[in-house]
Amino acid sequence: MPTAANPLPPLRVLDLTNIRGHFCGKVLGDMGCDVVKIEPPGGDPARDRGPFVDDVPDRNRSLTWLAYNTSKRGITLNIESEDGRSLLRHMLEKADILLESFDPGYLDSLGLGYAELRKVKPDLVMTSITPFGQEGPYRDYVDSDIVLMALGGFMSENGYPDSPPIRMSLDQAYHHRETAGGGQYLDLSIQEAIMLIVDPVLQHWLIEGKRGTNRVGPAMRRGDVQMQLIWPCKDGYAAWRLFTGQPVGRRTHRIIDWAEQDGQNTGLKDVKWAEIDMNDITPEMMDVWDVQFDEFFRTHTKSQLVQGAIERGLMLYPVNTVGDMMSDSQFTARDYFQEIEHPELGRSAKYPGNYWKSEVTPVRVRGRAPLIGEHNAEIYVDELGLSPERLVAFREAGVV
Amino acid sequence: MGKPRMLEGLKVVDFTWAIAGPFTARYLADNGATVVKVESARRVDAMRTFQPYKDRKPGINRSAVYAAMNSSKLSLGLNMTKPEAREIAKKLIAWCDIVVENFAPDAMGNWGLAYEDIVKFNENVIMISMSSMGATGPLAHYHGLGFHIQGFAGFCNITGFPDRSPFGAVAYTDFIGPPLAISALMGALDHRRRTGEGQHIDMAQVEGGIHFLGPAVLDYSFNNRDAGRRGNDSTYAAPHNAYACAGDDRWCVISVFTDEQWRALVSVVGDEALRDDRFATLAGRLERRREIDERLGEWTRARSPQEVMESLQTVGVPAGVVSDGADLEQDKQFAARNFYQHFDHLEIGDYTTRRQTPVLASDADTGPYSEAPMLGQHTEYVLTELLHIPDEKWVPLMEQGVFG
Repeated sequence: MPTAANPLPPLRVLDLTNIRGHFCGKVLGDMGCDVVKIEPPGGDPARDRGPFVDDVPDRNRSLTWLAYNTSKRGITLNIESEDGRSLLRHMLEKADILLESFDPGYLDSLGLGYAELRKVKPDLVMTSITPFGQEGPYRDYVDSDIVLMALGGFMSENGYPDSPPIRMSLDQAYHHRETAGGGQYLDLSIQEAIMLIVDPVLQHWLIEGKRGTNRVGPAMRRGDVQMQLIWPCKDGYAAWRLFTGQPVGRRTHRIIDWAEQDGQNTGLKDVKWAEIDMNDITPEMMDVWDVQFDEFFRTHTKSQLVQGAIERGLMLYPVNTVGDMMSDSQFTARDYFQEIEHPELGRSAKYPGNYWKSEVTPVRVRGRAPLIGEHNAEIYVDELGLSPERLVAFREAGVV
Repeated sequence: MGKPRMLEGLKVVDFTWAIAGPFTARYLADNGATVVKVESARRVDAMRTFQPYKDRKPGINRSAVYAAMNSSKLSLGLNMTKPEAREIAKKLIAWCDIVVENFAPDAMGNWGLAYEDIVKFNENVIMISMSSMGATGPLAHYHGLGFHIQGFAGFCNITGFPDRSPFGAVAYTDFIGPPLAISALMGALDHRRRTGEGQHIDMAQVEGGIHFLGPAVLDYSFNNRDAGRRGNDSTYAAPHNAYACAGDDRWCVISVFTDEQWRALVSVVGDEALRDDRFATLAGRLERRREIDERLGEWTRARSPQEVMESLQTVGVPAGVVSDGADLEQDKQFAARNFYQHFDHLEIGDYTTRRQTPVLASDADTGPYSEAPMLGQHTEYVLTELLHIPDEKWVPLMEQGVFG
């Protein structure tokens, strides 16, 4: 039997990121790196972002903070002070990776840019996560999640003909980034990371020359035809789309048979789904079919649909709320959610756990996100060798 | 001469289809790995049948969507229903470091290529399987595509307006899973470098995706509350919406989080009514966000989205064009970072693709290096140059329909 090890060795990661980069350090921490989150004195601004535990606004109870800073140790440090900068350089000597997400030019202005830090640590891997990258005309643009979703092209894919383009109701743009190897400087653009999701939007323009957004409601456009993706059912919504032709068109017979068994007179029993090329479907054909599919979904509950879909091998899924999803037995069977202790709150809570499963190098949440300055003494005194008096003095001076 | 490539020398067999799998293998290919995509004309990767096609003419080598997912790869045509094809697949797996696949859990096993099978002839191989729901559990065989999986995870339910349907047009989990898969593979490679030990990674697309719902999951865990749909509204910003601009279907996003940004916005818009004290604080703006939307909309409708963005960005207000395909192609920032590259594809002709890795590296090149392959384009190359199979062994198999 293989022995379980960490996916990554205890590489030391200094994490200077804000909300733009929290997730990156979390993944490394959950994979076994020793990630030290360095916050300004008073704490990271993301700690002001709700929702909060029990709706009590408190900088140690922000769920936005807690979600994306697991498996890290936390210290405070004012890198705008001379002493703070010197402490950072000192820590860097024993570190492998530096993550940061300040506005371009900020670290350079403090003498902490890649060129300077490389002198302290020649084999440093440094990753900068910024909205648009270190150079270029948008370099100094101010960002927000919705602005990045717009400029990355994502917004153009969602909306109704009678509504503006819309985003997801949760900050998403900032979680698009990845880790990369090497001994070097990596300049990441969130705008580019968003665009990857909507590459087909670019391709439609390049090939068909049609401008504009794709605001067709909960549907996709295929040529001149709109194919509905989300259907209202008796107690919520379900995700299903029509396939015809080879190889999956045959599955469509199964949903028609199902509707007929349940008493619906679809009038579609004789349609040869597997023989209709997707490219030959017209909007008029779709209109006739959609009436029957719509009725089928409206007369079934989500659980009836899921059960029936599994029995029949249909690609038909429920549109879950987060609560629905979390109570699904699939995740219990795979031991996906992890109960993480919060001693300071006197309770524990479920967190998403394994990103993937491996017997050799399992990945898991190793502990909740740090409280403000929770590991100051451990890191500055025990590991860096600062005297306790010096630490007190630094605190008085606002360095930590 | 270009910079070195981070994954130069890494050998990958790509048994993937649709988006999540090909996208994962493209990261590897664009960073220098030799990636052989195994595919068949008998059952083509569904993306080869996705519109748009070059000149709107269908054809398995003409889909721009397939082309966007598979640059820098080699294509080996193998009809896996033939035993001879499965033997060649084994030779290929014996050659490689990594196998990437995203079929339903039984598919590789049905070909005799499950992890337990392949470790017998490639002891230290790393294999990643990216099925919808994972290889175990009661839903292991519940087949789904990206738009199904994102619905299951909870993304659709938080996208849209509270009184209307959830949305699901972008197969979100197809795109957020691959960077996590790359993290898993980089960890596995590092582990192998240190210990010589390979492994099987079972990555459920739904489970990787749920991490992107972190705060919503914790809101349910701690507060028993289910996040719903809110259109473009935010708790921390008003205005916070997309606004119609001059032109046909042209939009610009504007978001104001601080009082300072608000004053800057008002100074540019010049609408006297917005100077009213009732809008001076975030609480006041949140309460009157629809009124603000209306007044801002009057201002934006007379201007192009670029003009709205540039005039607001100049004074420090977060604003951005709702980019459509043409905007993405012409984006000045993308141009400054050499985001796009042009290739000459045998059937599609001139075609544009972007860097898969959203990173510029100081000491490495991040691709891409070649256009997506035609089906079976590199069959001979793979057989002779990579696997060193003598002609007399493979040429006769051509007539038996083993390749293609």
